[in-house]
Amino acid sequence: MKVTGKKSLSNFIEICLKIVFIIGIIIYLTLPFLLNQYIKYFNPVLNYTAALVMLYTSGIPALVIVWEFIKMFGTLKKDKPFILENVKCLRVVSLCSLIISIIYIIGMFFIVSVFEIIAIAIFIIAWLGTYVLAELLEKAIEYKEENDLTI
Amino acid sequence: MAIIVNLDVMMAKRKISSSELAEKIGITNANLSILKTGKGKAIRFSTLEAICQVLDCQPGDILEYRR
Repeated sequence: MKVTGKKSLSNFIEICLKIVFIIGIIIYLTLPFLLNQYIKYFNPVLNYTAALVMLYTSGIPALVIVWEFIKMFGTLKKDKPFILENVKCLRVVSLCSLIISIIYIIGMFFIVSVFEIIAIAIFIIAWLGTYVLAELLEKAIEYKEENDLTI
Repeated sequence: MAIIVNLDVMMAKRKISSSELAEKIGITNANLSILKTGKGKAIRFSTLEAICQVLDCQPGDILEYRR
């Protein structure tokens, strides 16, 4: 199976991400209603205001992360992933992950749950991981340029 | 830039066109153009060898060091 280029795995993932992005926007827009339903049927002790504020503030960086990944997979489709825009995308993803983990850490004071601790751990790892990956990609671009200009 | 590529001079002496030379060396026109305009960062020994063979010259005829 092809990994990059047209009709490939990366193309399939890009389509999935687009669907996730659309679903994400729908959830974001209907958040007060959905949260009400969730509290009513699954978790009656949840602090509604705190949960709403937390989800609203962390929703934007989460959507930005998905959007940046859509952009990056778009460059994979064109088979040109070694560009500086992708480094910028990874840096934005890294920053957004940091913002989300900070929001969740602050949220710990209002809502305590196991899921929150897991989310904090995941986003801290994502923050550091994508930061390193961005640096790595920048180095790779440097090497690729050098290689391209070696005749 | 300290190292200067004098490919044009040698090509004029041998009366060979860019596209002909590129074809004989086995590189693309675009890459030969990069080499001629001095945008290239490095040259492979194999490429240099091919150029010297086709133009019947020494590396020193193509490359020049200027202070």
